[in-house]
Amino acid sequence: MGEGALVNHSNDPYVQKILDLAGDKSLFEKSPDQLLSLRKSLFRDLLSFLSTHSSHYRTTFEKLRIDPKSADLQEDLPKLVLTADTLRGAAWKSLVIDGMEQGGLVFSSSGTTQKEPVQVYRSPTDLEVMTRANTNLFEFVYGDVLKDGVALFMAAPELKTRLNFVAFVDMCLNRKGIELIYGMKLLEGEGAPWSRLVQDRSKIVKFFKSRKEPKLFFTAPAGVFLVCKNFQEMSPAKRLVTRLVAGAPPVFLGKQGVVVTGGGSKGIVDVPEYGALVKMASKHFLANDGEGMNVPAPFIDVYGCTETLTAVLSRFEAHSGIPHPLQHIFLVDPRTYKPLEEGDGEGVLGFLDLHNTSFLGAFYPGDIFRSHTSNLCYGQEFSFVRRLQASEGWSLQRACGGALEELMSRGT
Amino acid sequence: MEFWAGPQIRALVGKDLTIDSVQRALAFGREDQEKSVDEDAGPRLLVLDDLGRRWRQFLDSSQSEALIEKLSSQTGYCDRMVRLDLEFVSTLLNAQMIRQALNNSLPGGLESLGSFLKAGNEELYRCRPAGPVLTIGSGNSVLPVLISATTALATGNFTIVRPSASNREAVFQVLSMLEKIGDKETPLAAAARRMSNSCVVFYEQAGGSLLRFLMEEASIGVVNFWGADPALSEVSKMVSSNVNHPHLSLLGPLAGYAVVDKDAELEEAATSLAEGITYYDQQLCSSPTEACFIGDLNQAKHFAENVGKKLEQMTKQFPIVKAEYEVHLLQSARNLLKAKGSELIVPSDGGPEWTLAVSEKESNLDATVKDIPEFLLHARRRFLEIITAKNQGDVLEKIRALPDREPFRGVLRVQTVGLAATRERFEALSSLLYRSKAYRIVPLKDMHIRSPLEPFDGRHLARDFVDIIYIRQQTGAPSAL
Repeated sequence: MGEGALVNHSNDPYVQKILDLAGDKSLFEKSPDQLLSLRKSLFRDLLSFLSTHSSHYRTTFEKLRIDPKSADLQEDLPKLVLTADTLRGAAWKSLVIDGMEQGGLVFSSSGTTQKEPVQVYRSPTDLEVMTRANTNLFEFVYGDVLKDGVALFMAAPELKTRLNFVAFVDMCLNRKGIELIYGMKLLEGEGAPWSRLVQDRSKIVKFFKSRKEPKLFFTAPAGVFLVCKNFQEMSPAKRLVTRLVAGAPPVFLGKQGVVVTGGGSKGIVDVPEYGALVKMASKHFLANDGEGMNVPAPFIDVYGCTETLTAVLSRFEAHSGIPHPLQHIFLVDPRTYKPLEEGDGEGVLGFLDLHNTSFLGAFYPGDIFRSHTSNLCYGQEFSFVRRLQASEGWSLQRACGGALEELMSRGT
Repeated sequence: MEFWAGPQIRALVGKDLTIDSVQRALAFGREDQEKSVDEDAGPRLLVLDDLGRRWRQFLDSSQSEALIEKLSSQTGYCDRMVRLDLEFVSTLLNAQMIRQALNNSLPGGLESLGSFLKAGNEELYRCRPAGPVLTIGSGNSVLPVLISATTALATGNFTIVRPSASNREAVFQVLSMLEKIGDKETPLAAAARRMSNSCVVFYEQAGGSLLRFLMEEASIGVVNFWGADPALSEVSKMVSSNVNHPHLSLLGPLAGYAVVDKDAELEEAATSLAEGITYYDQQLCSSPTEACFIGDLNQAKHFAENVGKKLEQMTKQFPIVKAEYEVHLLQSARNLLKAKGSELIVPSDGGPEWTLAVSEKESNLDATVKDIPEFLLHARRRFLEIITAKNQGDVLEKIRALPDREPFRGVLRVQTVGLAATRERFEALSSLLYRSKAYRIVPLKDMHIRSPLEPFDGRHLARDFVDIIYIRQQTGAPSAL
């Protein structure tokens, strides 16, 4: 963290502007051109803000010959974007601006990739921005204002201070006064948190039996899969007993109920592809269509990495991923990393969180996405294709004297 | 289990090479090695020479195309690079080269393999094979394992060769040709038959027990391994646990360093450096992995731009395909290097094929690797940082420091310094840079080329495969313990 004196950055005009914009629902009514123009202008403001408050960014911009006042989003941004791997460990400390606002949270990736987790610091201002912006984006995709109901998150409450996705769901629902039930407990012990989670059956039953609606069910795709698998493997007798005791299967999510998924496979290898998962869930998760009919529950998928301040949300069979208007999303050619023209294409996803007031949130999470033009406000939608992965053994290759592959693969 | 051996061994072993059958082969090999200990080494060299000639014919035929394609897919090298690698095999099998190497390696030279030679007054030396030798190939190039195998065979050892997953087809192809030489009754036939019966090549899939048995339990004289950690340490541990205590012949992972003086013939230096970056995608122990330019920043940039032009040409001849994850790391590393002040020279379309970073006085790579910990040597194929140095003392410090730096994790030391300088500067620099502990100081152009007179990483490899027997015929040695 920078060593300058602590500054109340929330009084800075730039920060105030971001706070206002994060809560501005009218952004979702603007045209793609208007939003792009706004992002271009905010890009210069952001670089100026960072340059003013951090010698690290000042030096970086100087060395890259980027003048914040005249910086060009499309031309200069690619020079600044880095792999999200640069955020592993405590690297965030050297990235945040001088005199960083204290009292925030450090979020960490789940650690399922066998590498040191990615960590980011979110200041109180960033947390507020995150809450406002994600709530507005969610309501835009959900199609209504959140006001009543109950939510179940297949996570443990301890994770809301560690995992980005859990935190913003918790904060958004808390802001809306919607009860959030955590469906898992975190066991004491060593290892990554995701490996120490166990179901809290009484809480899950409480959600299933609740008469409030809508019911919002937040989980990783693996969570949906495990619930479905469990239901499918029940004998008719057990199914009946479970239905009497727990009120499911199937799970009734009520009027405007929805399943919200996010995250990876969490180490479960046989999770089906998303479309197949939704189909599998259609018998087990039902919602009321508003006209009294029970229909398969709609699915919203959240693409959000630890390093992103806001998520990219997609509503299954309605549209693919839509970012928040203050997040600049772009695709680059996987070979040259030069930005692709907007429109239909496939490439490595890069993003810039223009509403991040602590550090330059410009990263490549390491995923291939497909983009296509859209009638919705952002003008483009994005769908996840696959994660970039190193081929096994690539680090062992040498011409003379590589590693002995048997010994390596056995790890002896 | 995939294996090849000479006909007599095949008869002993049967269809499958197992722990039981390899012990029968080893018993035969030890006995055969002993029987031929008094034989002249000359015919063995001629057999190897003939093998090289046959190998050249094979490469010139269309039969080699499938092999080259296979090796290219397994190693990631382009076809032309694989062909170049395979062409070097004929050179290393050249009898004259082997003779020169052994004459320079063994005390008393080649002759000491067949008879006692006077080393002083009433004192004699003789070299006898220390095998059976197990030589374990790792890595992509076929050359290291064949250098070891050829040297072991030339010094009269019963030799078991275990090639790597990526080069095994070529190793099987080369060594199995030994049998063909003995097919017809020629003056070389007897020696060829003996040599083919002194050789076993095998490759077992991961999880097999034969390699482990050979290292940990077999009655074997020498285990030779040319590789990197953690395998290097594992091999060392396993062999050390063998109660027969075979001699360990290890060649660890090393790197090359390029030094270019501003007064050198810079056009030639640029070509040489581009070749060093391109050949084997810098994965040889002699490949330049960092460079110092003795001169100012502008001169260094000008030189690097010229190297870039050569690389552009070289890449057309030796194309490289990088995996998308490798590109992902590289493109971010480029951004970081630029942000830290390095001048980047890359292909005109921004592609990932090669990268030159020119940095003033200090490396920017260390800080880059701190931010991207996976950007280690394996992720830096055809990547070179050129750092300006103000004088030769500066260069010496940089070469000395290299093995301790994170970007070079896993490298034990600098093997080769490639120097581009005027004759006078070359002499002055090389006489200083030997203090860097580098094993070789050669012209930049020659970094990847070995002379038969050269030692391997500080020692003569042939000595690893022989025991030097000493006779003192009378008392009264000049000094005693």
